Amino acid sequence: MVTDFIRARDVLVQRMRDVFTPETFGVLYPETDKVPSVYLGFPATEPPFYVAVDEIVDAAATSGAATMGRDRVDFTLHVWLSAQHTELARASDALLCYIDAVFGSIMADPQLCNTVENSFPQIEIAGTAADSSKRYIAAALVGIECSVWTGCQPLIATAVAASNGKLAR
Amino acid sequence: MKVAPNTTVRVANSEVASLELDVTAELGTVRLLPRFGEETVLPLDGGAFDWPTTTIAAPNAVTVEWRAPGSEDAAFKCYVEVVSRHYFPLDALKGYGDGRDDFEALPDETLWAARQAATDVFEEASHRSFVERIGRIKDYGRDGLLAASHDLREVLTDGYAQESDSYLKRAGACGPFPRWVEYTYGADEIPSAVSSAVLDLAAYMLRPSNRPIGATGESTDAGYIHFTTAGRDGATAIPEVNAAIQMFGAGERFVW
Repeated sequence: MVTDFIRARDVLVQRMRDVFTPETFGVLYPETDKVPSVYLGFPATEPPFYVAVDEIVDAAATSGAATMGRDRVDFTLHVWLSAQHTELARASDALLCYIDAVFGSIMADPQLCNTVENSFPQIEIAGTAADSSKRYIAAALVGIECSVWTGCQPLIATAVAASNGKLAR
Repeated sequence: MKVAPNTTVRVANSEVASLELDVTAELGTVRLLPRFGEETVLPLDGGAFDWPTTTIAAPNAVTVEWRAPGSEDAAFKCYVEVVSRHYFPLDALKGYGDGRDDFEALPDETLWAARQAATDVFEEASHRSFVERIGRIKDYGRDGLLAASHDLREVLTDGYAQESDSYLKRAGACGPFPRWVEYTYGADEIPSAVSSAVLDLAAYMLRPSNRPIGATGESTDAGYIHFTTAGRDGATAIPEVNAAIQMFGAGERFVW
């Protein structure tokens, strides 16, 4: 089976690939001409302009039951955004456009193609720094908090029932 | 490209160059006086002329006389060193940085000056040239060999002969002293690592500094960060360029 985590992450990656294109991002954000590359996982050779979706989710937790046997599972998908440029303003402007595009991508369909009940993006950390090549880096980590009503899979329920049965003997 | 009076620019026969003198006076023609070859007079179009890449052989040293319309006297002079090629084409600098620098928006003069500065730094620090150039050394008449440049090719001044890859000796009547001795020198080809290092250095020179001038490090919450600084940690502030200088350079010469 495919977990909720993987389904939501894959939808997010595909959405980033479809939004960060010259036809969409390039038209929507004339403030920057730096259309970023999109990756699943942190790019091994860090390119100058990129959007990378973390390959694993973070902060997953269950909470109050919505109905009997069905918990609410919360987890966070992460997107790294980065831009480098000789001019600080061009690096930071590009980054702000990336953040805005990620936010818009989620708000356009918070259910992430029906893989979650709801999702909310937020900047977890962001900043700029000068590097030794006399360029500036502007980077941000956007967390997308997702919630899904879910129950345990029948096969796991069967295995747990069998396990309980062994203990009962 | 605008050039200032009484300066020397390096022009390569492999690359088209349009030269214009950076003065307010109206000029009509230029006279090119090459060290090797015939003099040429060219008309100016809008104050500029295209460098004749096929008629002046490299290496060469050309005095350019800028003349007012109708005059045959030199109003201004500048000097052109002619080589066969540059260490990298200007287009490589324009497209450098994968979008991080946008150097194509800068004027050609700025890019040209950065390439020239980077080339000079690399050649001085490596004690070599990777294109054929004309060199000269002053002979004061003292005993011993004359230390010329590395990769010596041909002695141009009568009365001197090549003793080794970088030394000259007197061969006959040479006086009176002191006397300039001319020769050609330079490696046959430019290694790609050298080309790439000079390109990196030129790009670095074009970027404005993002830290206080003279800073050699800074204290942060994570500890002290040491900045690689030109003149302190090597000839340049880029370790990879310093490595290329060390790898392909000739090193210092010492005489005991």
